[in-house]
Amino acid sequence: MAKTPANFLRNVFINCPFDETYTPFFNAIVFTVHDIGFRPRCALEASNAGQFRLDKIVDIISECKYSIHDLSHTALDAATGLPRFNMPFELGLDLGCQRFGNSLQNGKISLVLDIEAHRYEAFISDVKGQDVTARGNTVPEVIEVVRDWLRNELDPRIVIIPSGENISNRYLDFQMALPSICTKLKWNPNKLKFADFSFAVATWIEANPIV
Amino acid sequence: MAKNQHVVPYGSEWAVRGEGNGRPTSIHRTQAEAIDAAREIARNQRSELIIHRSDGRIRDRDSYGADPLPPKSPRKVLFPPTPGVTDPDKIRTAVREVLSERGDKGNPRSDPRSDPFPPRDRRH
Repeated sequence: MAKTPANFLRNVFINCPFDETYTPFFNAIVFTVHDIGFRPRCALEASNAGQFRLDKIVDIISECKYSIHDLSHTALDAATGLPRFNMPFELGLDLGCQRFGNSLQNGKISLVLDIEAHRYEAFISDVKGQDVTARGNTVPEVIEVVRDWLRNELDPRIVIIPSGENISNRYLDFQMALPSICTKLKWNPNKLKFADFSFAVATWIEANPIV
Repeated sequence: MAKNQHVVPYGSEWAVRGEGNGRPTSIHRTQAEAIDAAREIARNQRSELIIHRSDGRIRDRDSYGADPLPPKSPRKVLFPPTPGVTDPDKIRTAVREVLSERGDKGNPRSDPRSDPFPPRDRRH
């Protein structure tokens, strides 16, 4: 039997575009995942020198029970005129891990996001039947969607589950503190490293627990 | 049917085993990882978590089913598994300094009981 990685049951793989237009949504998803007590993982994590990107992605997928796939940027790239296949490809890897992995991985749970609920059927019809959620076009909407999805995995009698609006407000508080944090650490706020940003978010949440 | 979850030694490692099951549900390098996994299952099934010592004796147990009003708390915050470019201690220090300067710790805007949905500009 394969070993279960640490915190498999609380790791959330985020498969989304890593470009400037998506950064506000990505940062909000990272905050939301942390705020509900899960741990965001993604391909931007620092890796061992020499590790192939695909190997790293496969490792992360195998270590996460949950995954968020945003297919909204599966369109022709303005610069190259070519389609971007990374997100549907990593969705396929995740679905493969769920089907061919060990007993825990068989229980993997995915949230697939797109601009419209059924648009994906036009470009990746093999996964027809998969629940795809329209994520909206604003940060509070994305926070609400991710929160509502992860909320189903928690027992409200045991843990405090913040509402989407509460997370949005907390995220705004964090955003107001972030420039000062960046200044102290000499970070470029427009080029935050994922692991550093995630660590700062976790530290902020730990110091500002939901009550 | 809810099964109590046991964290038991498994060779040099640790396993989570549902009560009465022959095969372990999962195997972990450390007891802490096994406890984390078993606790999630016990919570979901509203059963008991029973932690054994390496000699098999029971070390501790937690109930997630019988208590009608368990204390609610936020979930423990999980940090990234691998460090980034910046020393984590420096990030901790910077965040705490900023919070201290801004007086954010205990900020009532973060307290849903005081004002759950304050009017804010939600444009991003």
